[in-house]
Amino acid sequence: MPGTGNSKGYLLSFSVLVLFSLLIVFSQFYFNSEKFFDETIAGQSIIDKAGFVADDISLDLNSMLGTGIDVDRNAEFIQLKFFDVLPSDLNKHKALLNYSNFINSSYAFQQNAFLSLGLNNLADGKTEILFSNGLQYDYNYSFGSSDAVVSFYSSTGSTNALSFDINVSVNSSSVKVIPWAWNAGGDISVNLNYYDLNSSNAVRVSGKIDSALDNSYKIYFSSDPNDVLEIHLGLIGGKQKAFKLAEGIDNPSSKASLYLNALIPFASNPDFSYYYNGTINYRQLDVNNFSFIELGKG
Amino acid sequence: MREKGFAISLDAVIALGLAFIFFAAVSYYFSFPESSSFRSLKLKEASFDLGAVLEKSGQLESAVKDNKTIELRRILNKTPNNLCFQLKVFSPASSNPVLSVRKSGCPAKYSELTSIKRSFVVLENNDANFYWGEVNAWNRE
Repeated sequence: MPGTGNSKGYLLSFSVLVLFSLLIVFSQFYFNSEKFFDETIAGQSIIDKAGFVADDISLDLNSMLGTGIDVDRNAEFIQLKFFDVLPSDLNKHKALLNYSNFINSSYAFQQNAFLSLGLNNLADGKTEILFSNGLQYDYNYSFGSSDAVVSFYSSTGSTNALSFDINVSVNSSSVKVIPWAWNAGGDISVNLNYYDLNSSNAVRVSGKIDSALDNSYKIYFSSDPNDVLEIHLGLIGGKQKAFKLAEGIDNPSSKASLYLNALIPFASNPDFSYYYNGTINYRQLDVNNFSFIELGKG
Repeated sequence: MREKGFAISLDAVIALGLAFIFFAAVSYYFSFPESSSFRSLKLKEASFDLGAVLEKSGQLESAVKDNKTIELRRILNKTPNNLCFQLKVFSPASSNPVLSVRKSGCPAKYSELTSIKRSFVVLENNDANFYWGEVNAWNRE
């Protein structure tokens, strides 16, 4: 059988060629897929970094501005909790300008990215925290004065709050308290806890108030009528079911600590976020992020 | 004739065994689609997380205020054993680090190093000072 040896040889050569071709095709496929994988991951890394930088800046601002926020939410209600100190130890205007310079120069260089912060709306004497459902929390720090005011309201009219827990403490001694008028038929439930170094003026009371009125609780720290801490609740500056705390105590070392808890019906909007009224503009390669400085999501 | 049959059977068994080993090796390899970029991404994400934890827990600010790295090292030492980290803290005023700390048992020996930077605020004497922390990460070799 002289032909059998040749056939075997051809078969063997053909098999080797087929195997070799398959190996080359597979190598090419593997090389391309790994290249694609690498490119995808590199792109992912740049996107991750944009988020990381936004989170970093948001946290820095929150460290400086000091307002603490907690959000609890269920299918029907949202509970907003604010923690603050009035007035702040920090010159917020100066700190914000310095921070903006730091970010736009040193930090942007370190991140190898274009970065620009728009903090004018925060450095103008009032920091605003905006909520996606129209609520707003302002901290008014007056230039050249130790007075400070925080207010919580809705830019669209009413916060629709069902209840407020208001806890305020002051490290000074008050001399007189003028309470607001409680109204058993009112439409906002309030738990008010107030204390300072004069324990006889401490307040621990629950009740209802009429949201159609500007209800004010005034705590005086001397005979001067302007040496006062005022808690307002109700109709404030045309905003319904709003809250305001105005610290006008003359003693410059006086600090008022606020813990405010507002319960608000919230069923319609599934997305809820809150952010500073300032902008971040970040660019690196193809990634471009221009947005408000987000503080969190509920 | 019997010897030939035995040889063919043995050949078949060896071939099957080799084929099994080959397929097992290939499946094992492809079940971990890990390229160098993937390893680098994992290191970077670990660094992002570590930087965020150090800042959010206030440890970066405390370390600068107290000029101490003990707590920072304690946190670095609690990270996964296969990862090595070094943290340097810089102020814009100087190119030399204000603080530098490396995870214990991690010599600076690596084939791949990732680096991220995170800014933080130190509130002191009614003033805000700005710093950034540089987290370097590599796989322990």
